[in-house]
Amino acid sequence: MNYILETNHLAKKQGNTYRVNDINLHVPENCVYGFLGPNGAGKTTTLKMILGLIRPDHGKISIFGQQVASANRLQILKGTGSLIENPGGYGHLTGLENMQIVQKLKGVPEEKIAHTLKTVRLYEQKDKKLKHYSLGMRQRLGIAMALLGDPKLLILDEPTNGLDPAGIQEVRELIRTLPEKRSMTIIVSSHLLSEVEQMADYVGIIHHGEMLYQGKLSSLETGGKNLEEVFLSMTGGGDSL
Amino acid sequence: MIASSFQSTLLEFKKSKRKSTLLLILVVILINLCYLFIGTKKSDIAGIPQPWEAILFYIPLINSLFLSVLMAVLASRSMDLEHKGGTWNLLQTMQSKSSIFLGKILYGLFWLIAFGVLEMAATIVLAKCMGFPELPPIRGVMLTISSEIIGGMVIYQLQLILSLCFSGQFAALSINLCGTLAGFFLMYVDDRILTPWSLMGALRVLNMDYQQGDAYSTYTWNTVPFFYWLIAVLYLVGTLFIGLWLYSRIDEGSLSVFSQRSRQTASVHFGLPVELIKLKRSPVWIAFIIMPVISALIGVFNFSINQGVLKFSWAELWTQQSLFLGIFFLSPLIAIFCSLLWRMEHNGTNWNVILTMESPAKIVRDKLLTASGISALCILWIGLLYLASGKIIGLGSALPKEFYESMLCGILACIAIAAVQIYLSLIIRSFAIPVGIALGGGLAGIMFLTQGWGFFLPYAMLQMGLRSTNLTNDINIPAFIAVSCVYVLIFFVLSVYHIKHKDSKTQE
Repeated sequence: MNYILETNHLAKKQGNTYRVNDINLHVPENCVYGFLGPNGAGKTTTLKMILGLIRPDHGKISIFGQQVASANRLQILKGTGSLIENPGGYGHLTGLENMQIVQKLKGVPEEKIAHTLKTVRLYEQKDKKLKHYSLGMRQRLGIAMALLGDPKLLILDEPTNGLDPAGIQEVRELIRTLPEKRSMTIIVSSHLLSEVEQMADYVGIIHHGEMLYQGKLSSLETGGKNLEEVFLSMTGGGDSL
Repeated sequence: MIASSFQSTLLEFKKSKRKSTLLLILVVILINLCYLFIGTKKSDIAGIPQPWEAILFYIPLINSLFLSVLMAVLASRSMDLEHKGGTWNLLQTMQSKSSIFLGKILYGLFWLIAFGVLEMAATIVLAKCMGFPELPPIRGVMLTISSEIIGGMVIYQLQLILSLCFSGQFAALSINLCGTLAGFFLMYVDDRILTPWSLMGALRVLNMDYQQGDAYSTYTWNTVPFFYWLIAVLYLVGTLFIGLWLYSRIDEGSLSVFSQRSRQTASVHFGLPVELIKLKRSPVWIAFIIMPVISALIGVFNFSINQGVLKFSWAELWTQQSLFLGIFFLSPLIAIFCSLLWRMEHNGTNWNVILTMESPAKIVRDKLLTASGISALCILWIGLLYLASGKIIGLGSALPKEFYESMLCGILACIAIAAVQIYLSLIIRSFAIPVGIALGGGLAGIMFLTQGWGFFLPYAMLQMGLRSTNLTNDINIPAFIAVSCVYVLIFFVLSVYHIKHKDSKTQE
């Protein structure tokens, strides 16, 4: 199979303990990959290592078949879009101005901005300052920043944080259609099982920094069990950070 | 590399939109012009033997204070944007860390050049309007501007590094302000001293010979030795490369060396009041301890080497140690502290939290007590250093009794200033503007004092209370106490009123 993203024994220490240990991600092309785990399991740490925001202590990462090194990192990341932790942005600038900054850095045509803002339904709000945005609007803008320029690989860290039910559904629908419509691959991290269940083709389950399962969602759910039951039995329930 | 740095420079301009940088620069230029020209009458100009020389002599001097502060503020603000917006995760996936740094450098350089040129142009225009003869020598003008650019850039790069190391801008800014103070002081001790903060002075093209008895000083042109330029360039290149190196090591928006220092908490009990818990791990004490120490050391040094001119007395030592603190540094320090106190609440959704738990009066009271407490301690520290250094250099036991009054009045004035700054930082959400007001207030204080309006401005009261110019000046102590109380009361009520009647604002 063709993997768009692979990691090889990825590990990150904090002090003497491993925050993330021996992670081997295999993300196939043109799918939605759900990255699951309880709070504090190491999801964000892993995603940050993939994007080169923090340095791994061990292991290798390859994206689009190329091994990521500091020399080619940005070149490779040009083909990605990401939203990690909270959406960033400058409070004193409007939504549109924030988008323009991202547009110039990504080097994509200006016309894309309007289209992307419409995709996340922020176009009408584009002239409001970011500090006057609601939490949900900030989150949408974060998604828009990631989507801008039609990246081949989209990495979204808990993208439905702060969205209302309608917003959650909307983002879910958007994510589900992206592989087919724009031939993107999306990695979505979440601890909301029902959400992942409804949109992911593949899942990886991480707990205490280690990978418990990786593969097709459908083969995990054999035997009539739903994702929640499988997840809780794997992670031991109740025990999260 | 060059193209991407250029692009990130352009983006820096976009990021600083609505931050009115130009206005800030114009204000600093205006302050400088006031300093240069106030008190000069049109009719006197013809009688001044070297008017242009005098102007070109004083510009680098005043700029090593104001331009340094301006550049530090610009750098700190530009970094604060990224810390506050949480944009590191995003930016680093799109541009290299070094081009973020170079972008900020070029942005600073642009404003620095703009400042240098605008200031010089404004000075020349104003001087011609006042009837200065001819034009200033081109070479002198060019050299003055270039020394400003080199000196300013060193400070700017230094501040970018500091602001990266400490994401809290209080610590980052105050280290540079302490440096500025030290550099400024040291220039009075040795006018060619080569600290990063006194380059503008060291590279200046004129010398002044001051003879008592003459109405005017004489200025002589001076060729700055090659060695001085070399050191200046070394500072410039050194800070650039250290910065580049550090910026390439950013991990999650900060340097891991500084971020992984969290200590284990021994127990859940922490006996200090809330406001002090909030200040934990925020190194506020640095500036309040170091600034008086710098001031005392340089004061003693200056006092010792100038024994030919100064009298060997407690009063003269007091002047040497406290003059600049009272005029330039103490009020902005209190202002920074008050800004810091409110900033914790302005950030994020903290207003929602504290307003549901405490009454507005109690919130303001706690802030005021904290700010007053720390500035009172600072005054006592200044006094202690004064007594200790006086004993060490062997001054006799006849300490003027007015000293104790000065301590009292100094503390009272600090509390009044704290009340004003608490109000300003509450209504103005920006960190730097209230600090700028305090700095301007200190300068205005000099004028208010000479006009005899000391009680009308708390910043003037501080200078009056400390009696830096003459320890034996008379102060009306009861009036001083009463006026201080009035200031505290007015601004306390205003602050409480503001909280009660304005909707709470969250985010950013």
